[in-house]
Amino acid sequence: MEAELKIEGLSVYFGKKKILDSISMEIPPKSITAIIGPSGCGKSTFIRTINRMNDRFEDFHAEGSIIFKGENVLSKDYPIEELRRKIGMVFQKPNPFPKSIRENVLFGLRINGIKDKQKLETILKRSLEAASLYEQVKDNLSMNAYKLSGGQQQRLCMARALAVEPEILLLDEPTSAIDPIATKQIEEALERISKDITIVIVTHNIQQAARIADYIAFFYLGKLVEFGEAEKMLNSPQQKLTDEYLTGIYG
Amino acid sequence: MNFKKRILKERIIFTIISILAIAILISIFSIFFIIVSKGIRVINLTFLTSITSFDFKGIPTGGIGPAIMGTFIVTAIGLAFSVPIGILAGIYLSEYKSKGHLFNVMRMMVSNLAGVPSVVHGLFGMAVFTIIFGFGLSILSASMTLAILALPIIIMTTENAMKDVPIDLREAAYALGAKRWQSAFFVVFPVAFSKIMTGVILASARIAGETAPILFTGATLYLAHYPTALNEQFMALPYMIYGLVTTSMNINASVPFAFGIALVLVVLIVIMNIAIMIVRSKSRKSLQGG
Amino acid sequence: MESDNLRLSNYERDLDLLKVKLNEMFSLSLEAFDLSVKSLETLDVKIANDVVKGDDEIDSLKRKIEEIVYEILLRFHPLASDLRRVIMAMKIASELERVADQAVNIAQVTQFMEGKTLIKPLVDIPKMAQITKEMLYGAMKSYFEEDIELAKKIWLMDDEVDILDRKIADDLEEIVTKKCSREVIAQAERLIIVSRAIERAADHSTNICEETTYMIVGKELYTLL
Repeated sequence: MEAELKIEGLSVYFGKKKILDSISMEIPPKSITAIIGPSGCGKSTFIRTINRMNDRFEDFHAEGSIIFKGENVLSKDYPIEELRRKIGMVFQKPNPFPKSIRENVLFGLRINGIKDKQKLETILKRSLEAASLYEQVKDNLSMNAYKLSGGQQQRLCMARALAVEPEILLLDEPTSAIDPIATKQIEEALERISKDITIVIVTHNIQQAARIADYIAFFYLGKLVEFGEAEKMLNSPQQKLTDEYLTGIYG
Repeated sequence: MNFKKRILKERIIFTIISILAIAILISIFSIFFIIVSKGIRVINLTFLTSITSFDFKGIPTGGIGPAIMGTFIVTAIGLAFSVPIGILAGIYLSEYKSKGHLFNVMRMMVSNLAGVPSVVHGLFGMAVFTIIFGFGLSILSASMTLAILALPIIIMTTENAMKDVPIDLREAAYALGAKRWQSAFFVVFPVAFSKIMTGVILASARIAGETAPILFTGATLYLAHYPTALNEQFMALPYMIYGLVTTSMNINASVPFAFGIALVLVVLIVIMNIAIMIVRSKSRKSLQGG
Repeated sequence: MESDNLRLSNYERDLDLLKVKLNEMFSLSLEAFDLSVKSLETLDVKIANDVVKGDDEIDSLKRKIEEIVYEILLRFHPLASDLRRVIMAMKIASELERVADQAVNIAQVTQFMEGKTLIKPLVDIPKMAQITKEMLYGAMKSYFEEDIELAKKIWLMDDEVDILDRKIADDLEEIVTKKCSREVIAQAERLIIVSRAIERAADHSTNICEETTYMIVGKELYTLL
């Protein structure tokens, strides 16, 4: 099974501070990979490096490579906008645009010059359905997104990201600010989506990883400690550090 | 014992502050009151629309029509120059790389420019536009001088308004593959719009009321007709007040006239402020989901 | 016990309680087995009766352990080695309960033998029982001291028990072929039951060793031999 994303020897610095240390791993395609680990151990930095959101920090510096479809996305020549269309992101705090629901979802398509009304409407419906939001908002597509609840806004952000048809979807603790019922809906949506799209989700909620992940990567202090199939890792991890972390949650 | 002392202290301070506040309110209201009461006598349709004239005894007759037109035209053209440039500059400073010494110096210069006395602007305008560019004393020179006065205000409010927009929205746009200009214009700008418009309206209220910049660049005390061309001189409301009170042959007759002009100016500015409030509340409503 | 009624809100306390209860169960089951064999060797029906009566306590102890395991799983969602520890505790309790059941089977044979004479002197059965006792004790030790090497050693002792079990069956078959009375057959049946019971108890010991190994390292014992 070919890897969707191959990360080789990735080290990330902010100024002189080393945040990630020689990360090497392969993300399997069309599955859910969860990244777990204590706070501040580089998980967010890691996925933000994948779609190069960290570029805008002046003191950001990365070594190593991230291979996507045969090319290193970290190289200076790689077209960043195209990268971000193929690798989408959903953030921790829902951040819909202060526009209508329709305009939110179609934003990515419009800035790429897609004008065909038929096509836009089709994608609009499909994306909202994929995010389990269509039924709730189908009669109010012109309503301002800010009127939605937190959980709905986050699903809107998912629909928005899905509208540009990415191959990978990165999620940075997407449900940490959301109520449990909306969390469940989002998790179910992710499970459905993962049949077509590779999902990488950072979560500090081990239970969430236990519920939905196919693979788990455990990060500790900027290093990748262990990577493996979810059930095996949660039952009998190979590394002592992983075991200590998993059993230490309540200790 | 302590408790009672504190309450007493608070009461005293509250009373002092209330008295001061009331004093300030009284003075503000008296300004309005004086202007309105002295000026209202002169206001009528003729006043507002006819051209100015004086009779032999130096009593102003006619109206201030040309002056109103003059002020409007010069303000409008000034905005036409300063608003697009100012907004674009503000957007650039906010959205693109603008850290480092060069930009800090630039920003300092812009804010200094905003604080420069308007007389200096007038002098500059005279030197550059009337003489060097050769526009002479004209609406064009005056407009461009006023534009330079308005520019720093618009740049600063635009930059601040854009920066006030939280970074979340930009990140969302970038994550979808938007280029920087797309994020700036389609996401951030609409959110910052009401504050930017506030800045524009503030700038226009400011330049409409300025006398010094137009003094050396094209304003004149007396024109027998409405302004017709850009390279002509023009009449303006603030300058007229100055002129009537200082150079008139018949002060007693001129002063009420001047108050009338002052009333018109004040009303203009009040209208502009109301416009600000309307724009802001409309824009806030649409952002919140109206 | 009083501590059972205290509201257990602490994860560590729950895990400790689990260990304590399991310890109790080990002791009770071992004792039941020991006494049941002794009762047969000395044909002491009183001891046998005690063993049969004591089975209820062991059953309720198993249920208590299951309760604690459910609570830990529900409230704390343990993971990795903690998860294994908790699940294995429940499985081992189940094995120990069955050991106690085998002890009851043996005791019931003693009750049957009341007032009768053995058709053959007991030689191999006590030998088997001794090995099995060692295995039970060793399995318990390997659990509490988390000693994988000991678990492996005990696991391998099962062969000896199997051999003896077959020998006893052979011997009894011979006796029955020679003397084919109703009494002889009845006793032979019972003695086979005893032999089987001891063999099963030994089997449960090896299961405990397997479960202990998995709890400690997350791998099957046979892969480590």
